[in-house]
Amino acid sequence: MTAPSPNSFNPRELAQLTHLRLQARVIVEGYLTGLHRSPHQGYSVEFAEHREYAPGDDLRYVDWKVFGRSDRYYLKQFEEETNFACMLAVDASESMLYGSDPEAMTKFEYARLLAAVLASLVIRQQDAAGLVIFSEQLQHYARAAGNPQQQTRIWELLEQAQASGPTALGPMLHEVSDRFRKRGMILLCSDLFDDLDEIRLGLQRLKHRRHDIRVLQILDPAELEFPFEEPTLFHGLEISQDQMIDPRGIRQAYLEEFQSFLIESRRLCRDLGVEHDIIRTDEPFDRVLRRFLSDRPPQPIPDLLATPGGRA
Amino acid sequence: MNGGLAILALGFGNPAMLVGLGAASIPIIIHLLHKRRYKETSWAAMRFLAEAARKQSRRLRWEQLLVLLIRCLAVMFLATAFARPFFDNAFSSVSGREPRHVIVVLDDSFSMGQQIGNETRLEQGKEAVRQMISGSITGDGYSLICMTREMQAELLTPTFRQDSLLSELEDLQPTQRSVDLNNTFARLESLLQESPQPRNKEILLVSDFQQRDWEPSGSQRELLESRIARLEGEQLRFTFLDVGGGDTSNLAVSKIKIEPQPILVGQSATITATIQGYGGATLDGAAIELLIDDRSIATRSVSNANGTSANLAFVHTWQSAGQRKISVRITEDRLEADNQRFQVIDVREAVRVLLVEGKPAGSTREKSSHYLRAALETVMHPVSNQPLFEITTTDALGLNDFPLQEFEVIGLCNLPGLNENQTALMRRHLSTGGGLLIVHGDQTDIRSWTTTLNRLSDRSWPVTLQEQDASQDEVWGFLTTELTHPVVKPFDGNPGTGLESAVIWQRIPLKLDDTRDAEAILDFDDGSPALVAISLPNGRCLETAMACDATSGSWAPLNGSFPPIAIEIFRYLVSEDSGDSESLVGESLEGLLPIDQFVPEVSVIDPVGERARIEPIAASAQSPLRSWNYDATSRSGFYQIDFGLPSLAPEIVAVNVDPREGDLTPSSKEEIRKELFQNPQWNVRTTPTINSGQVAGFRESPLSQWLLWLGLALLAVEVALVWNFSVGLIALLSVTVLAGVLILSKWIGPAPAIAGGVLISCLLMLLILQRVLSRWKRKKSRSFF
Repeated sequence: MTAPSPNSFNPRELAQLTHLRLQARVIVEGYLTGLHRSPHQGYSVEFAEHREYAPGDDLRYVDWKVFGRSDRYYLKQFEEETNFACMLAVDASESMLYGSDPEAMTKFEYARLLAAVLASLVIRQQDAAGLVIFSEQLQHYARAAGNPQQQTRIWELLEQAQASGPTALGPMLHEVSDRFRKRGMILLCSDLFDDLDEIRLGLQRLKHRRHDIRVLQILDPAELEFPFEEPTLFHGLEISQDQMIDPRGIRQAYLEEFQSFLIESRRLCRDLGVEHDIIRTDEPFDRVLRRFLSDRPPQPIPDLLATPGGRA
Repeated sequence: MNGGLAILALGFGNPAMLVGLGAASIPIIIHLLHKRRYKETSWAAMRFLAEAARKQSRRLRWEQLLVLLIRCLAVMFLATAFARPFFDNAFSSVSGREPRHVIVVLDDSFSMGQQIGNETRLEQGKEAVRQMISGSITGDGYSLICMTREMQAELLTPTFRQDSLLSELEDLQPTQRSVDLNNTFARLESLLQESPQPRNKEILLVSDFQQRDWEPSGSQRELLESRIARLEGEQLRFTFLDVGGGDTSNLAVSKIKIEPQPILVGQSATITATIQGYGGATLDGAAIELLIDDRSIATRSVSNANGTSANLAFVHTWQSAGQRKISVRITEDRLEADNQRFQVIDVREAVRVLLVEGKPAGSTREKSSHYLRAALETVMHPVSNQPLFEITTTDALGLNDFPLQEFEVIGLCNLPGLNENQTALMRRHLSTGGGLLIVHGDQTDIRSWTTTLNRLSDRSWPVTLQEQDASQDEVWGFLTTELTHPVVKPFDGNPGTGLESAVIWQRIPLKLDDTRDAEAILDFDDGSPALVAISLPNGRCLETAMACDATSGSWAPLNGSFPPIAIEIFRYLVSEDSGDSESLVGESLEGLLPIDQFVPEVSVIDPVGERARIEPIAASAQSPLRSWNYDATSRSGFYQIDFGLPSLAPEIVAVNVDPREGDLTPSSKEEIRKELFQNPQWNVRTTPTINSGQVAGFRESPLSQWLLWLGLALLAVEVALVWNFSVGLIALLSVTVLAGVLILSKWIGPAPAIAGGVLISCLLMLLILQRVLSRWKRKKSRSFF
């Protein structure tokens, strides 16, 4: 594959590509081009379980000790052991389906692609990556693993995932905590449109397990700017409520509310020692990746009320 | 509304514009339509939107209602302003007012012929009247008064048909006359007394409101004020429709002067035309044409004019005697009527003088006419070197036998009095432009002369003869300090010429009753007049208090100042200068017919050749004289008076416009209103100067202006509210405070109103400051992250 142009990171252009894999590959290839690959470190093979032999299996992995005891052929299966495991948690609630620009990505598509790219980058680094996709309930789960098939598995799961239903972010974080016991990194891709107290409890639980948590709050530009002018009937996603609004009159109050929410989110994360970053769905992926992978400080909370014209 | 209580009501100058009030519903309709048109979208951050809506919904509704209200009010104010509302205590309501009597007082003077664009001022005034009287109801009465003396097209009896007024207006053309406000308001007064609407009377004054007419000075002003004040007691509504816009520059030929006098055959005469530039008109380059006997003689241009007038001199020599027509014309100027001036002169071979001796005496020197005759005989014709004055002497009895029309000047020297027939002859002599010298002396019968003098003119004689002084020892000299009249002017500033050494010991004291018609040319040292000039419509008359012989003093027989003054007296009596006695357009021409010839009919041929036949009538019940009168001088020019007898030569009379009417300088309508129309019972409105035929609105009634400004201000507020509600709210409060201050200043005075406005503004500023500070604090708290 040829090196993609800088525009390959543009979410609007990437949205034109139909398959997640293709989108993820474009980003990953583009991002890795020019980077120095670091040597594999801490690589080892650890036994995981036995599996009965089937014709065609590699005889190198037959456990002859077991054959000696039981006279059966079992293959030893190994799990790649790394010094880093990353669990990607993707919010697939209905609110993530919002996208103000039909030509661009919804929040879910953006989160999904971001998770796919990050998973690929982690696995390419010989580290383990896992995936949890949830809304009110756990939709998909893949344990963290570093084998090459894991990337494919994660991508498949991400492709199959559908955003629907309400959010239950707090309970889901508890679920992740139960399933992902080994200390590692948890990347939460969500709009955080849920009860912040519940989220706080979930994050506290994860922090208790000494996970390194990063919250990537994915938001649509329209949610940050509220650029509507004409009277509009707003149909609620997740919340079954319709609201007829003259946006010009309410814009100020909405932005105040939303700003408060962002501040609360940032404060919650800061209090728990969780890194919080706001990502707009029109933000190029390379910028997000660079910020994320190079440990740069998160973006400050934008002052939504700073410009009376409405562009934060 | 027959009750006596006048209820304040609102009227509209242009009620058709009230239809625009319906437009006030447009914002509401737009608002409703706007609400029906909306977009749909799904939305994730619903809980924030719902919370914002919950907090804002009440405020939002108020904001929307406020904006809607301001939109409706702005449209309503503008529509009402264009309908030109005014408060009126005569209308019972807008739709159902009571009938009114509209009196159109129209300026039809020649200044209204000034062109503004393609129309004259009169045309614009007529159009303004048409606009003002539109929307009549049954029972409205209409009258028309013209401001010139002419009764042209007037409707002094009110008509109830608007089309009659419109028809009269349509036919009306500018006259060549001047505005006569005294006469106008006198006719208005009598018209108001006969008005069919005792309470609802509306007077439309349509004029260019020239300063000359509307801001007179002195006695003219007092007269006008008293005339207008006589309308008090009437509840009137005056509307000033000013059509005096446009360029006020104008050129006029204001005077023609011919020197030397008398004008003699063969002697070069200088004809000096005075060109007046009004309103900053440029005199330089104006082409002036001289016409004599209707033939163009010369054309010259004004150059190096300094000031507002210029004199242009032409020299001409007449080769034959007789009446001659002179006119001077400006070849190009926008106001036509005053561009030409006319004058008739008599060119003479010699001046024929009849001296009537009133004191028969054996010695020539003792005759009262002797020294006069001696003085006149010294004057020679400058060309022919013959005596200039052809002197005939007669006594009182012989006066009846002479054809007096052959003499230019008659001197009545120390006559006891005149009989009725002789008085009639003198009166006719004066009416035909002749000169008369009345010398009083020891023979004067005061009683007889008093009767005689009062019969010499239609007006009362302005000089009264008084009894002789009882003291025989008293003598008088002449006062030589005020010698301004042409007769004595040469002695002004020339001491030692003898005038101051003259001694008079017998005189008939004269008393001036009316200084407008009589002027003391020479005074005795006790202030009593010695020589008096009397102004008459046609001829000239001088009256002396002392005889011109030795009986009255040393002046005539011994003093060197007597002969030149005597000569100047006779020169003055035959001089023809366009002065006070000239005929103006609109004035009647009149004359007396000879006693000895019967004239059955007099024909007057006007400047365009139309002939009018006039039947002479008796001049008065006692007088044997018959007179003719022609009162239709409607245009300037030469009028020929034909008596229909071979023995009576036709007379030519020059009639001119009043050049002062050509001064188009406008007066201040506010001043007119304050000084002439200050009666509190009157409702006086003034319009801005009409330049395009449109009555723009009433300055006096500022309601429409207020509404217009308020409507425009609300439109600006609406824009500000939509852009930023806080800014709009500040703008709305500012407009409200400003309007409040302006309205309150009318009631409680400007100082308290402004103080109140400043106080309210300060409070509002504090509120705004508090709001800004709280916002700033909130912003600061946000910037933590």
